[in-house]
Amino acid sequence: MQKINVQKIMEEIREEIKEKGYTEDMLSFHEIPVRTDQILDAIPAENKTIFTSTINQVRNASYIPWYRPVPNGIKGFIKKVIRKCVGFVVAPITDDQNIYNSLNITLVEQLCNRVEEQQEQILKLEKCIADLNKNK
Amino acid sequence: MKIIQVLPTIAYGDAVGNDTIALYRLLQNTKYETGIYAENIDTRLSSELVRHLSEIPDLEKEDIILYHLSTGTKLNYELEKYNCRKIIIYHNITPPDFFEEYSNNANFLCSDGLRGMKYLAQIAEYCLADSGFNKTELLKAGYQCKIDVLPILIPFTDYQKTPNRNIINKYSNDDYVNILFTGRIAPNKKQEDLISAFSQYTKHYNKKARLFIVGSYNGMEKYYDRLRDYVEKLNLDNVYFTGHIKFDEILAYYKIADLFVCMSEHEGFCVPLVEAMYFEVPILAYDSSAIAETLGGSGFLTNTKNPVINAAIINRIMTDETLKKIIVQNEKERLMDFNNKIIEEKFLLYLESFLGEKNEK
Repeated sequence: MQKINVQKIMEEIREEIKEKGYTEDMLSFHEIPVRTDQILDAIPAENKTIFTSTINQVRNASYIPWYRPVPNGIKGFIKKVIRKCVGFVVAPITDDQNIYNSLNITLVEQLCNRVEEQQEQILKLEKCIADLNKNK
Repeated sequence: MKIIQVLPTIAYGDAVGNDTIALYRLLQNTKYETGIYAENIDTRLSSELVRHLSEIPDLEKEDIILYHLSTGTKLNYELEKYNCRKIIIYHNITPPDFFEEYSNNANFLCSDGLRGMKYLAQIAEYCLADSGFNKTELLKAGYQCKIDVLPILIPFTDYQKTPNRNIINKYSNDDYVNILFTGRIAPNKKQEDLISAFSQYTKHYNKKARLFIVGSYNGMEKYYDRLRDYVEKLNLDNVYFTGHIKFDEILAYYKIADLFVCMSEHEGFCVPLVEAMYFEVPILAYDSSAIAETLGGSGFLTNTKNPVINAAIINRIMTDETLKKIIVQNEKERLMDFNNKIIEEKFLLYLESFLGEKNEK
């Protein structure tokens, strides 16, 4: 690897900046306020693809089977016996949970559609206001 | 014997996901049974490749879980329930303070991740860290097991795919200098310092320049809006935020780039630096965290955030052909260290050494 004489280059650069009188006086990022008119972590409209993909992921993971596959052999046999014994308690609970999960996802999607609908309405109203202002 | 990989979330195309899949393919060609298990699986990944965490097979004491640690998740605290040996692959967790103003979610995930990292210190029997910087973080968190450094596996063959022609046609047939940074829009990556240096560069040296800030801002909208406001207040016309884009578009941006500038203040490895090396784009980077280590003597390191000085460095690299050539040549040499074959061999060697040591005991 060929060595770069960074120190020398930096000296030359500092000298050049001094000669030309360039200064650091510019607007600092700290002077820009963080917008407060925004819900923290809200998903913007243009990120809908990512949002949809997340929803799909959640939907795929929302159904929880009440039992897991078990291997063969003695261990598996014992697990199957236990599963049979507890099935009548666990299965109805997971069924209820699955219904709840499914309703939740539907609700999120409905909310998202509602927001979109309202955004369209707002745009229409804004256009109306602009037209009215023009005709004044 | 089984060696399986476990992680909370596997995303398509991100650095951790790529590393996991590459290790899976490598382990498939060994005598070990292997698999990837995750809690959240990107729908673009086939169910044959990645399975849900609940499908983890019965593990014996001598089996191994390779656990990819990069965020806060309840899995960090549940890993101990698996009755087998555990190897942690540490990809780094960003200090939560960076996100304080912008995202409660990211702040929480990182705080919880750091707590989880400390918790896992008592469970880990061996660790692999993407960089020496990551290794130091593990040591600081109280890890007493053996830790080796193994760079992340990068899917270089994907970079040979066809880049997006529209972007290349739009931005490469003129005399503009194209400056690039790729990576999520995130406060630790300090895109504002990039913007301020670019502002000074266009003010004093070259008006014909563009800055492409390529990367998703999902979850970082507040920071993104602040960056946009900053660009607006500085009256900069040629700063482009692409947001989340397709892979062929990312390739195109590397193809049209004249310079890659990174002002990040916290990176556990920084894959985009290696990508820039691959595309023979000279790199100017701020010397922080694992940056210098990943560059390994290549690129041009700056130790200041002064926008005037950084603008002058950009100008120097863009106008001094000899310097530019040396930077690119050094990057080419450094790139060879990230050859997948070398890293894969190292991984297998480390694994065998871990297994050997354990068997001796």
